[in-house]
Amino acid sequence: MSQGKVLLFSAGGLRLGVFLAEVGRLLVEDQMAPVPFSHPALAGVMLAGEDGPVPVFDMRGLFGAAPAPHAPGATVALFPTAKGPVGLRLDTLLGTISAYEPLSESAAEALLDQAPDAVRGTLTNAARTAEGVFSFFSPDAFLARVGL
Amino acid sequence: MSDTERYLGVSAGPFSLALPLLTVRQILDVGGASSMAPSDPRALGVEPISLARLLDKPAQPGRPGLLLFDGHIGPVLLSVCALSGVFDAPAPQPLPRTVACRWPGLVRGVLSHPEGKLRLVLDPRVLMGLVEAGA
Repeated sequence: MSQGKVLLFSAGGLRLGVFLAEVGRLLVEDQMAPVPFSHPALAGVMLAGEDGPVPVFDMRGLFGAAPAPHAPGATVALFPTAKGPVGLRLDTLLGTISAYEPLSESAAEALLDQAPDAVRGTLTNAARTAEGVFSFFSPDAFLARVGL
Repeated sequence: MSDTERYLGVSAGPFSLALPLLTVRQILDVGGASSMAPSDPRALGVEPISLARLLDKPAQPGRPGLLLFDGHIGPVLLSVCALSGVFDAPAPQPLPRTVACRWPGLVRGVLSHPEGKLRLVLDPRVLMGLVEAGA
């Protein structure tokens, strides 16, 4: 068993986890302003209180599907970056866990191989909880994937 | 000196936008159910350019509003999906560096007006450049 609080969620149809320490805060999507001529995975910008306008990405945009311009009530995870906070729209927030069992290297590789090519580089490892397996999402790799 | 500017709220495809009112030479038609414009664009003398399509998205169905601008090389007639009125608002909040747009400067920033509606403020000069680039 490994320790360390992990936020579990689904995004782009994938069951994912990210260390809580990597998450700035969680927001509820209210209004979103789509931005013309932007990255296909950018759903738009939303106002995040004192952080002002922040970009919100939707992983489905990496698969070639257009992100929904509005998803009122969706949870947005805000990740701090050197350039400012960046949001990721979550399909479902599954909760937090404090213990999980890492998958063997071959099992993790097999799971990651099932992920769409476009997001594979944003997933770093995999683990199991009583509810099922999940892949670790790397915010840094995701930001690099969308050119930030 | 006023610290607010007057804007015209419009929608174009999926985009909620605000245009500085002083840069709109004339509102030729408000569109929608109140539209008075002929439905055949040939009757206008010049075919309007869809702002939604200019921004690379499909326009919404319905009778568009028509706006006349002074372009860099002549008048430009833009059609928008809907007009949502004139309002005063403070300077927009600039987009963060984490939002990249293929047309730098096209979006001046974000407004939350009127009544908290989130809109992007477009720079009309850059918009006219986009019209001419697409012509």
